[in-house]
Amino acid sequence: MNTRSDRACMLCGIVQPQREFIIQGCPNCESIINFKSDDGLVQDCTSPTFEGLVALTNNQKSWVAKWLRIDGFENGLYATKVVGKLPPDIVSDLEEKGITYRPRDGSATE
Amino acid sequence: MSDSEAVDVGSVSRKRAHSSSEDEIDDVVAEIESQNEADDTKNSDEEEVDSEEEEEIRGSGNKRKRRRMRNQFLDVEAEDDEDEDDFSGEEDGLVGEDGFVQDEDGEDKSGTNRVYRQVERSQDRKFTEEDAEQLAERYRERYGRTSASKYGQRASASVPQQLLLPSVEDPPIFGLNCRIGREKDAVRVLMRKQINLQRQNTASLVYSVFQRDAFPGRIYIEAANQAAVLSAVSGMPNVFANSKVLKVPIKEYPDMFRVAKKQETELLPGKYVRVKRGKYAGDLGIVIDLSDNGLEARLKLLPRLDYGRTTQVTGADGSSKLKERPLPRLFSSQEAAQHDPRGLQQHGSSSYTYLGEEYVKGFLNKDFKIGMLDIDTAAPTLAEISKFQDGGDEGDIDLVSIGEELKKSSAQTTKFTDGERIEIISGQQSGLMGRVTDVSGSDGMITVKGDRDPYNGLEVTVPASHLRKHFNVGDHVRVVRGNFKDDTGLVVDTNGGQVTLLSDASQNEITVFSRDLRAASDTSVKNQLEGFAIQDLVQVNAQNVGCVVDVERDTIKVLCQNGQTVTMRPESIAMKLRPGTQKTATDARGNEVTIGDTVRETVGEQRVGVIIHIYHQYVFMHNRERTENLGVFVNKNSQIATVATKAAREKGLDLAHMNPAAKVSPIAQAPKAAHFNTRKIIGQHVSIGPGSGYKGMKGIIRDASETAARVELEARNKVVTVDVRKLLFTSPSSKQLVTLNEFMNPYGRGPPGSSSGGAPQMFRSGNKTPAWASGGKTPAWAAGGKTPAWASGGKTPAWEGGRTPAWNAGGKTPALNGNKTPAWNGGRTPGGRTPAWNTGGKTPAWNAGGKTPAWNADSGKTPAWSADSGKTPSWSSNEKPEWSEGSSFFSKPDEDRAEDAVVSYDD
Repeated sequence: MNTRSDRACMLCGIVQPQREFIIQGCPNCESIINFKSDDGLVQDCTSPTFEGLVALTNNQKSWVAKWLRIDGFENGLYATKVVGKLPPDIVSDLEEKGITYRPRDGSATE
Repeated sequence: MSDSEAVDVGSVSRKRAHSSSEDEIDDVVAEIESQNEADDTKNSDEEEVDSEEEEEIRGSGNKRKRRRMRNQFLDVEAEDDEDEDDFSGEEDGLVGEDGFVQDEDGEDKSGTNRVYRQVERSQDRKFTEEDAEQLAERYRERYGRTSASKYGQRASASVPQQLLLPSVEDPPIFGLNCRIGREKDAVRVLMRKQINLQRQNTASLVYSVFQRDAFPGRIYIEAANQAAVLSAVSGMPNVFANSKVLKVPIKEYPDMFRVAKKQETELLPGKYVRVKRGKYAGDLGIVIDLSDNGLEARLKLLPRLDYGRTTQVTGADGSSKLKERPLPRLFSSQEAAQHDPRGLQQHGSSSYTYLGEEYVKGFLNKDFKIGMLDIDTAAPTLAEISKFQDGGDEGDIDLVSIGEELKKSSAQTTKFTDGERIEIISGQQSGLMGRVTDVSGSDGMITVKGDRDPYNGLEVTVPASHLRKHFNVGDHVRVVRGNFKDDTGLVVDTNGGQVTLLSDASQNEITVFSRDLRAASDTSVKNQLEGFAIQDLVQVNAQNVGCVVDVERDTIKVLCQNGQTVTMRPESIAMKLRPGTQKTATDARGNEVTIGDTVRETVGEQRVGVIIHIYHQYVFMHNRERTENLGVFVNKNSQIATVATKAAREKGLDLAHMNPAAKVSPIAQAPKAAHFNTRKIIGQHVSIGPGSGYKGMKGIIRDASETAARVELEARNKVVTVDVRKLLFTSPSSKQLVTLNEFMNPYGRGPPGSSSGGAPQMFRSGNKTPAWASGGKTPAWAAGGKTPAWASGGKTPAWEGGRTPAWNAGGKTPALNGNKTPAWNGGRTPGGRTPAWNTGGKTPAWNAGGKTPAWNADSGKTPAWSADSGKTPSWSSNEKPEWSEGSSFFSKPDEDRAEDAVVSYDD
């Protein structure tokens, strides 16, 4: 299983191969960040550097999902830590849509 | 039909909708009404409506299409719940339009379709043009709904993480052991297993599986119960389910997901990093910019360009790996222009693009992925940093960035001590100034107490990395680390973490980090280096002695006896001379001067000074008021005159001092270990001589003092301490084993007090050389009529060399030669009684002097020799006929020959 091309979405943290992002988009964020067929956007908004693999198998009951704020998201592989931040223009777009971007690189403080 | 006509049709139909009668086609109305009702129920879901409409378009007859046309004009979605009246009115309009459309429909079905499509297209355009806002609203609603469901309406989305803390209701998390390195694979495999289970509609009780790099060899499964965990991992090769399955305590849940933004991954412009791979592997770079997402960094590097030199060579075999990496060098636009002018573009005065890469001020500016960079352990050396300074004109080395670089390593190594002034530089109490009260805390935690408002009296415990030593201008400090280690100085400026101080030793301003400083408890300059201190008398080399006048960090400045100063490393100094060995000398007027006397030069500058050392005729003096060479100067004793003698001597002459008899002969004293540079013998291969428990063993000196040496034995893995005088060194010149003194002083210039010391010293130091002590007679003369051999019996040290001519001339030579000659002669002259033998035996060896026959025989002029060669005239003259007859000749002529030889000798 070649995992070298895997990338993690910086917004939701889902981990999938880069081509998957380009072909299918992000299963959670596609409506917000239109990854599909946009290679540059995939490069900018996903990160090849991530850590702490989480296999989410029950997005309703899992506390882990809640804690990582991925509850309700598609089941699948997620990263606990995604190195990198969304570009500022994407972040401001998200804010317009009423979505607060919490970086998953550990810089978010609460 | 054109688009404009289609629009016209629409407007017409709208107009007519209000004016036409109701009774034309009732069945159509009924159908459309029912359809509209259906639409009303569905208009909350735009997508479904759309799809339904599409279905209608694809497979339906005219009526549906008509309805659709009209329906679009009605815009039911935007304005739902219209009056029935309005609705029916519009129906009328439709009906009015209907006749026309029907006609068309009847004529050409495909034409109708075309009309419809065009109408629809124009309708869409109208939407975009006229109802753009409405459209935007629709889209916002459509997508907003999705995002809201994902991001807005989740419980976890807006609440602070504290409220997400786990409770007992949350599912338990179990930790399992896993083969190290296989954690991620295990998570992925479990993921697939669970997906497969869910496809089979088997309810899964496993909610999530995860791993963290911080916990190698562990995976964690969040599941309803332990049984679910065990069944999930059953049969998995790398998960050890039969080992302990531990339930993680609830309060530790969040810790498992702590995402610590690593300190070292915080790349900031100006930070030093190292490239891990590629052409620039191992090279130091400075971060000048970071990409927005923080995954790439633009580095400033020294380019490794060969301007196409080696590419031409290795181009043939095509392997670029074998290519030798060019040395890092500043970019040269001339060379680039020479090699590939087309690849070079200039952008500014010092900015170029060459072969697709950017060079600014000679440096390469290149983007690297963060993963390519070694951020934590860049540890730049000063040489590397200075290379960056060479090309740039930014001025001084940016100590801040270097400091940043070293911060991590320094955090552990910065030593704080009780009472030190500190400043908190990060964390909540940042800005607090105070003193260290306790350093014993675990994990480098240090307790400090603020002593300034607003933190006066506040006692906090913070990590050492949050602290910085604080110094005030005027503090006297010692550098405890780094290039300037052991320098002391006065703080003249502080700037953040940097402190500039005026070094006591060099009088230069040096800038160091405050963490490398410590308040100096001793206010003096460090004036010791390898045991050499200021004003020590040292043996510079075999000919020169000198006085140490300055001790720097690793060099020593020595004022030599000839008045010159030399700067040398301590290793190159032969040894330190024992102070006060020679206490007195005479001045220009013949008066005695001793150490401590104040004297004035009789010539030259007429400097006045207090005598600190006397060595032979050289007098080292010191005058506090002089600055040159720390006030030390040297002159000959014949060029100084007493100004004032020491108070003690003014009381009167010290008779005891002047009476030789009252003094103990230095020879009688046990020989003392010399002052010598112990460094010189460290590392020497030595044999251990008798007198210690290790006699005969060999080893290497690992450490030495002036009296003892630690010798690592070759035979045994053991280091023993041996008296240095018991060691036998291998002389570098003769390769023989010699004692320490001989080893240190191959030319016999032993240190004062050693048995092989120079004669002048012996005179001065003892006033009583053994030779004189023995009655004013030199041994040679004293021997009188006795044989020199007797005199050489080793009674006096003067004779110990055993090299006086008298001795040689007397006892030895004749005896030696005398013994030998007969043998020599005998071997060749049968008969054995050579005149040499006889003569030797009869002549007193001692008197014979240079005239012994043996000696002559040796020199080739004795008859015996001549006889052998057969060419002596005497022999020839006495030749007998029988001589040539062989063996018969031997018995007789031999005697004749001997006689002849004696005769000829006597002649």
